[in-house]
Amino acid sequence: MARPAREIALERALRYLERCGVPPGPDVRAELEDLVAELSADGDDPTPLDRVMDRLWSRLEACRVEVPPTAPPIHRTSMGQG
Amino acid sequence: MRWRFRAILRRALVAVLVIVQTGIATYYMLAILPYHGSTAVEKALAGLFALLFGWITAAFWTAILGFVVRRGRGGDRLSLVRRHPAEELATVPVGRTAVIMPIYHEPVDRALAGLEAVYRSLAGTGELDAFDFFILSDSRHPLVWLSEQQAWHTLCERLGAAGRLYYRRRVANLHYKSGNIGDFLRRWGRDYEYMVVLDADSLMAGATIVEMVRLMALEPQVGILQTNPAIVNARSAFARAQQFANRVYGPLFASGLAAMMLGEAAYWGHNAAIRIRPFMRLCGLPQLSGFGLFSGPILSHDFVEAAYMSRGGHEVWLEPELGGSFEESPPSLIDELTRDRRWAKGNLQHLWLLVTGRRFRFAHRMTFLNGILAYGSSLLWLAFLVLAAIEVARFTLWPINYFPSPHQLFPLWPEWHPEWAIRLAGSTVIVLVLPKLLAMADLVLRRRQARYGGSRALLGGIGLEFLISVLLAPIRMLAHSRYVVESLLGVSLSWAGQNRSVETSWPAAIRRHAPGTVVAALWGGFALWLKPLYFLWSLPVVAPLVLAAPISVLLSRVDWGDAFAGRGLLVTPSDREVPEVVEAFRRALGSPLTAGGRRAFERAVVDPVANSVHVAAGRARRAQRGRLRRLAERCFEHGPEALSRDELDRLAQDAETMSWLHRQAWRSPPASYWGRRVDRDPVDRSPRSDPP
Repeated sequence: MARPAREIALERALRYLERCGVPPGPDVRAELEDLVAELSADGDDPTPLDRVMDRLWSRLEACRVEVPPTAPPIHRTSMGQG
Repeated sequence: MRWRFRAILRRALVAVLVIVQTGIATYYMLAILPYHGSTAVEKALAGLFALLFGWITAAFWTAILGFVVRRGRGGDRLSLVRRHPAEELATVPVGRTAVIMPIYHEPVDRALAGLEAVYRSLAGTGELDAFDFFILSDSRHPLVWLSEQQAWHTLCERLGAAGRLYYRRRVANLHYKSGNIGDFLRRWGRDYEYMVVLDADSLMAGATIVEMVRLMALEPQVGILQTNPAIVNARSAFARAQQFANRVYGPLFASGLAAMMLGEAAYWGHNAAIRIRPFMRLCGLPQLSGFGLFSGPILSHDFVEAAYMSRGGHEVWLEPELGGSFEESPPSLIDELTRDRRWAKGNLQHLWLLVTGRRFRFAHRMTFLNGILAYGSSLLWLAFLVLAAIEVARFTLWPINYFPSPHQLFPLWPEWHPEWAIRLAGSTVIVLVLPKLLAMADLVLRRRQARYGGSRALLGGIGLEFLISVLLAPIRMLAHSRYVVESLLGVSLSWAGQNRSVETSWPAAIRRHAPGTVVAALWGGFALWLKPLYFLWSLPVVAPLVLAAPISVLLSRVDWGDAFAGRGLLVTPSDREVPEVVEAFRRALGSPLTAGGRRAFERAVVDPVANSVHVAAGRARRAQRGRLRRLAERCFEHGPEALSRDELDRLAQDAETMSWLHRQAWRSPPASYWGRRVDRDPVDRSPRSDPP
């Protein structure tokens, strides 16, 4: 039997946060449940997955990963031959 | 400059000894030949013999010199390391140094585990602030470079090395490794005083690196300081034999070479410290302006860079007494031969520089010649064997010619003295074996034999290693001869990364060695038909070639290597007392950094952290936007398998497309391709060990 769309959206959002390093504690879960309920109620789309993920990306700071610099500032110069 | 005069004296002494010994042996050779060098074939045979005997005799006297130098108290008193006591060195500030690791399709976990070990070791010295680390990738395959990027990021997290450990991938990998390093220098060379070059299999103790940098600070005329890396981590029987030879005989040869070259030594391309400013001024490599092999970029750059550095007035030192420098051996014969194919081509290019290069120091010209002969001597040996076969055939099948020379008054009675031939062969064996026994004597006199399992195990190891090298010599000879001919004929070859762990399979060995086996079987049959005695003389060459495939397979086996070690054979000190940096490397290897294989792309799409890394490192390609979007849609619908390597590469390089794919993947339904990947258990990318 197919899982309800709301459940799929909730699981996906939790999994995403987990991969961002946010542990899926009760507070996080509750916040996401509210979010899914809100987006499921006011949309025409029977699967709120798209909208849940979009909202997650726009709202949650935790998903913004700080990437270390791949290189220091370039100070270009040339090489000589002999 | 006292060393320069001593170097000339030492080189002259070795040259005289080589020439005298070669002269005597060649005289014997002429006496052995039936017509005593009167025919063209015999003249050519004698000439080739002189070259080949001179070649092995040079190595013999180098080892003798090494033994003598090592017997002196504290080693060579002219060496760089003996000039400054430890107390003086400890007070010298450590200059800004870049530790660079150029890589090209290397096993990512292995290479970065090495870098992690070096990083941790340097952190242990308390001098980490003077060092930055660069992974300089030339990798072309998207699955490889995506893995590298992910591994770099994880390593940064694991070591807390953000802003100190960098990853740069060249989009256009011109001029191979030297181009890669040149690109680094042109961008960041001005920011550093020194660079330490590591290969993907290099390991260096932090204390050694710090000592080298301090030595260079005290000796401003030194441009390159080269260590003599010890082979470690050998598992297969083949690698164990190389490791044993490297650890037992290596110090003798390296000490002899260093004593002869002193401040005009060679640079081997890795495990060395380089003063950046003169290197940038002097060592930009030109394109070769000749024809065929002798045109285009210089492939084996290290010898040339040392020659340029020396020509520009800077010294290049090889210091075998500097410990804490390690590398790995190829695990199998096939891997060694694959590497040799590249090296042969690179070394042969030096012929052009040897002939046309100006103002090179004599020592560096000799280094070029040495490198050329490392492979060229195989072709000379093969030519010698072919001529010897012609000589035997002529002597056996044709009527005897009593007047081989024109204008000859008296007949020449051809003679064959097998006992002289045996004597000459015996003296050749002595030239090959004596350095090995001297190396053992050196270890015993230093009371180091226990580290090799004791005197009996050491002697047994030398015997086994000698047997293995005798079996491998004809196989290497034939392969190297082929590489030399291919190089001279301009047969192209791809510059590939190296296998560092896999055993050789039977089909791979048979495919690789079949041509040599067929040639050797025909040769053996011909020799038997011609003359049974000649067949016996040919056996040491023919038999290993006929058995090349089994030799190759069995020596690549780890269980054979373990079995030898279990019986105390081919044991080296690092088997018993693992150096700290090697231990750190093994620990790091136990916590892999990558997902590996195709999962690197999936991870780059799915994992939020990995995706952020790739998007940050990616580029914006507005010109190809439409095409990239079509590729991304195909990838989204059918997965990365639906794309070719080039298409995947283009996709992965584009920041916007990777970001789009990431979002699409997380929005996709659970039953779709990406939905299944997203819902799979996350890859554990948490740092598994503490930062140093």
